[in-house]
Parts: sequence; structure tokens; C-alpha cells
Amino acid sequence: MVYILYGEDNFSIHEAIQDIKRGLGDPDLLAVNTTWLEGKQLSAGELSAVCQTMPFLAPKRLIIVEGLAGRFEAAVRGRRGRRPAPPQPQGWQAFAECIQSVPDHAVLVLVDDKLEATNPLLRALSPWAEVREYRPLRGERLVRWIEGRVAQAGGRMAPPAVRKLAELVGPNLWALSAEIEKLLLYADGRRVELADVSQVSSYAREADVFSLVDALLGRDMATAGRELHHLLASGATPPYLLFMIARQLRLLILARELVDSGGSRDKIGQRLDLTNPFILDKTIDQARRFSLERLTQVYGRLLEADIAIKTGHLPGETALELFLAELSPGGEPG
Amino acid sequence: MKLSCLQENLSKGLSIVGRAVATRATLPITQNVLLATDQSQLKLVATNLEIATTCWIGAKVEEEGAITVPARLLTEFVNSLPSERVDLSLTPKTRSLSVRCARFEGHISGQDAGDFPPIPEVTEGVEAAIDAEALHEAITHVVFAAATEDTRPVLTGVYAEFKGKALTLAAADGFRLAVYKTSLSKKVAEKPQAVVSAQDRYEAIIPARALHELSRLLTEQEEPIGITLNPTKGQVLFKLKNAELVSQLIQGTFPNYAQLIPQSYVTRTLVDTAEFLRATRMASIFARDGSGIVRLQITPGGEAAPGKMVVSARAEEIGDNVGELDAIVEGEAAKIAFNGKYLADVLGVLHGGQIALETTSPSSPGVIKPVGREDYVHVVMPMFVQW
Repeated sequence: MVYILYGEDNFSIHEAIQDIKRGLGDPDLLAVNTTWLEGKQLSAGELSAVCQTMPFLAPKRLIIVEGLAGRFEAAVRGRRGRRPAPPQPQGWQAFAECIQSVPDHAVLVLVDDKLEATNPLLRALSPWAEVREYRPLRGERLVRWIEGRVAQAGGRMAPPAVRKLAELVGPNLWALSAEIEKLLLYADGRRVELADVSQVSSYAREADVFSLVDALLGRDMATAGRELHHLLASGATPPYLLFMIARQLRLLILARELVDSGGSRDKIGQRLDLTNPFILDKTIDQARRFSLERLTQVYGRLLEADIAIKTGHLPGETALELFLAELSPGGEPG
Repeated sequence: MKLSCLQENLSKGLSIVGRAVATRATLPITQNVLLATDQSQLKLVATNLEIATTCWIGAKVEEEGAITVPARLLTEFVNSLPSERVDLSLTPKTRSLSVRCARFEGHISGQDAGDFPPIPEVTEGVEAAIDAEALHEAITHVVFAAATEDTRPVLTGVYAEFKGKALTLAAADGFRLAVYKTSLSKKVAEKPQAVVSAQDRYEAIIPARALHELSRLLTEQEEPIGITLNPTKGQVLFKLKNAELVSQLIQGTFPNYAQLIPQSYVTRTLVDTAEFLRATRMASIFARDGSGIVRLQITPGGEAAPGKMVVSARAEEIGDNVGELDAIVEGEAAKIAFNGKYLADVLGVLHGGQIALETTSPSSPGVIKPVGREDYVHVVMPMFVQW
């Protein structure tokens, strides 16, 4: 039996592997018969040596190979999308041959990130294997997934809370499942409400940093001050806030440049490495509303605050307050 | 700290503890060796937080003290010194250890001994003793069959069962199993010495790496090795003449291996171990490109011809080889394929004599036992091949 599980949603892939394991009998004996292999350095001979060996004390041997098919992508895109990494098209035939002759006692699971439909190994094995693609969940499907997960854990969550959580965390199911677990523990049996999400989720804090940056770029110092105090009161430390504000400003400057040069939403997301649609949309929206000049000016002020804290001239909170005061319309020199 | 000792002893001591020094350390001080005066001896200690080795060497101590210095630097320096008296002295203020020998002198900056991880003292638990050579044999027979990947932690260890005066070691990696039985020179007893021990069977999973290190130290030992096992704390101590090795135990349950060892067979083949090993190694050269598959074809003898075992391997587009061995075959003709590496591993530790290979079918485990000995059983899973 051969499975090919691939896609960006590695949480669901992980769950699928657990499902396959459950179907293979006694977990202790299966653990002895489970081999994880790193696909990048694997040779066809090594793979077949493991697959061909009879299982030990158990009816099946489980072999999980990570990143094998990805090795044979025709043109592996570089991180910046510019220079393609050298393709490694040779050698897939040997693997295809070896995988097609996997004996009955072996259950082989190939796990990969996103694969192109043109991937030669994927194409060669598709008729032989059970192929499942795991794309990131979005929109309604993500909301339904959260509802399902909550129900599975025996809890309840108000629909606005579910939507808020989906919006804040995005398609990262690892983070979502951790947030759900945390919220259910916090609610301790009662229904999880919208307020609980803002109260407990660390992603809500990230959203608050957006509002803070939004306010200070727009010279709305009353709101900025309120957000700052709210964040500090909720336990965010000044170095964390400084880092988050700097990060957001850096993203905004990059996004602004890309917007100016006519980049599409998808392209901006790819270049900024932002997978969460909520954060991406917010960033593009903010970048559109402020000039590059204003963004770099605030960024420069932030550097001063950073230096003041790190050289011990000012305590963290004071430096942040001063940073806000200097950015207020009356506080700006000239 | 101020003392003198012989270069030879210091160099030997450093080589004993040297293998326990951490290589890729999250805690940098574990790349150091601890030097401390201990009564009229110099104590050397190294640990990688999984195993800790301590060794004592004779020294003339003038001033007590302790320091840790980079193990590699000190070892390389000491190994290069002439075989004469070495004077070690520590300037506590600068934490600099001066090493003087003949007309050479080195200064090594160290770290405070107080920062070195404490070495666990295993004083409670159960105690046993075993002859050094017997323990060495036992370890060599099983340790290679333990798993090397960390994905199955339990299998990276060797299962040890102490029962009365018997010690059984077992290791398995999902492809093979090795079980060796030996006797203890002093039976297990709880410490402090109970008049009647509550039970006489104890088990533990000891990291294969720790046993591998231990077996290296055993070759020069003549006195029995003391073993103190503390399953509650998860530690085991091996006490040698001038050295001690403490290891963490692996937590978990070792698979019930007894059920894997087949109790019957269809074919039993007796062959010369050295010849079988030679034929296997030769076949492995050709098998290297074809998943390591070595095929065995066993034919019983008749009135005209003696029994034989044909050892062969073939690799597509590369070539093949065939070797033939005389064999005493009991039962039916048989065909079975194994990974050449696993065969060579087990035949390699059986030094000489004859082995018996017991097989049932091409897909059932093969059992290898040395002829005339009851202490060792090795099970290898066969490989699926088209004949």
C-alpha cells in the first residue's frame, strides 16, 4: 500500500498519518516496525532495503518518507522566486520502480510539501498510490474545521468567536488547535464567547498591535496611547511591543513599495512571507493609506526609542511613551 | 590545585573519559573535562548529560583544588608531551591551568569546577557483579543490533534483565534481534543488603551508546565489574577498577521479544562461520546497489553429494556473484534472502566455529545460533524477493 500525502496543510497530513497508524494494529508493535526516512538524501536501494524486509513481530511495516517527491520538482523555486534552485530531475525512475514493487507487508507513506502537478514521481505513482492533497483551509471550510475541532474536544464556541479565531489565526491549523485547546480550558465547560478570544488568544494581541500602529501612523495619539496602555496592562513587555511595531513597520514599508510598483495581493503575500490572509489584507490596507515618507519617519523614531532602551538611557515604558508623544502632531519638530 | 603525575597515566585517563565529552553541546561546559584532587589521586570527569565517565589516576597532590578545561585541547596537548612527569598547577584567580612537562609548558584557561554538571551518585538500588570479560562478550554480541535513529527511543537501548545469577541482554532495531545470556559473579541484591531480597528479577533499558563506551573500557579490566541499578531514579552505574561510568536509563517498555524467536524450524543448516562470513561479504559487494539483498539457497545432502549452501547476489546492469559452502542440512531444501549487512554483523561477532541457521519459509524469520553454545540467539527478518 502506498500513500502520497502532500500540501501545505501539514497538520492534516500529520493527522492522516495517525489515522493510517491506527488502522495498522497494536501501536507498540507498529512503533518497532515504523521507519522514518529523510527523502532528500535517500537512495532507491536504501528505500527498497527497508520496504522489502519482512515486518518484525507484526503484520505490517510502516515506512514514512519525507520530502522525496519534492526532490524531483522540475524547477524548484527559490525563496525569493527569482533564481530557481538547480533541478534534480534524474533518478526518479529508480524510486518509481522500487515503490511500484513494494510488497504487501509494507505500508509506504510519502509526505511532501506543495507539489506541482507536473512532478514526475507524483505522476508516475498516481495510478498506484492513494494520493491526497492537503491545501490550506480558508473561509467557510476553515470555520467548519474549527467548529468540528471544538465539537470533537467536547466543547462549544459561539459563532462570532469561531469567525474571530479563523480571522486572527488564519489557516495555520497547528496554531488553531492549540488556541482551541487553550480557549476550551479557559472556558472550563461553558461556551467560548467572542470576549474570551480577545482575552486569551495571543493572536488577539497581534491584532491590537495593528490598531496601535494604525493609530500612530494616522496621528490619532489618543487611541494609540489607549492601545499602548491596554497592551502593557495585558502583559506585553516593552521589548516585545518594540519588536512587533518595528516588524509591522518594516512589512508596511516593503508592502508600500510593492503596491507602488503595481504588485498583486498574492505577489505581496509571497514576497512578505505572509500566509495569514487577515494579516496580509490589513498590511496592504495600511500600506495604501500612508506615504512611504511617513512610514520611514516613524521607523526612524522607533530606532531612537530602541537605542534609548538598549543603552539604558530610558526605561522601556517611558521610551515608548516618549515615542508616541514625539509622533503626535504637536510633538513633531518642524 | 597543585599536583604531579605521569604523562602516561594522565594521557590514559583522558582517553578513558574522553569519549563521554559532549561533541555538539547545548551546555558548553560539557565540552570540558573536570580535574579534581581526590585524596591522593587526580579525578578526571567528563559527561554529555546522558553518560558520565569518571577515572582516577595516581598523583602526588600538594594542594587540593578543582577546575574544568576544554577536553580536546588538554588531551591533544598531553598526548604530545614526552613520557615524563607532568606538573599541574592552577592559578585560581585567573582560572588558568598550567601544565608543565620536561621543557614544555602550557597554560589553559578553564571554567569554574562549580559550574560543571553534578555527576549523579548511584548509591541506592540493586547491586550485582560480573566478570569483565563476560560482560564484554555479552555487550559485543548484542549492541550492534540496537537502533541508531532516535525516532524509536526504546530501541536505541539494550534491554537488560537481571534474574538471580543470570543476566540477559537483548537488542532489536525492527529488522533483527540479538539475545545473549550470561552469568553474574554476584547475584542481584537490593542495597542496603537485605537479608532476603524482595524480588530477584530486575530489568532496565540501557542506552546502547553507554554500553558501547563501557565495552571499550572493559578490555583492560581483570577485576569483576560492579553494577548498581536504580530503576526509580533511572540510572545505572558500572564500577571498574579505576573508573566509573554512570548512564541514564531509557524509559519505556521494551517489546516482548520472546514471542519473536521461532520455536521450530523446517530446515536447519550447519556451516562454518568464517566461510559463511566470507561468502556474505563477497556477495554484499554486488548487493550494495540492489538493496543489500543476499540470497541463500540450501540443498540437503544425499548419498552422492554433501549438503550445500549457495550464497549469491545480483544487481541489475552491474553483475552478480555466487559462492558455495559445504553444509550439513537437516530437513527440507530452502531459499531465503537477507540483508547482507545484517548477516555480516552477526557472523562477525561469532568468531569462528560453526553456526546453525534455522529457517521455516522465505518470509519467516531466520534464526542464527552458534553451534555447541546455548547462550546466544540472533533473529534476522528476511527480505521479500522474487526468486
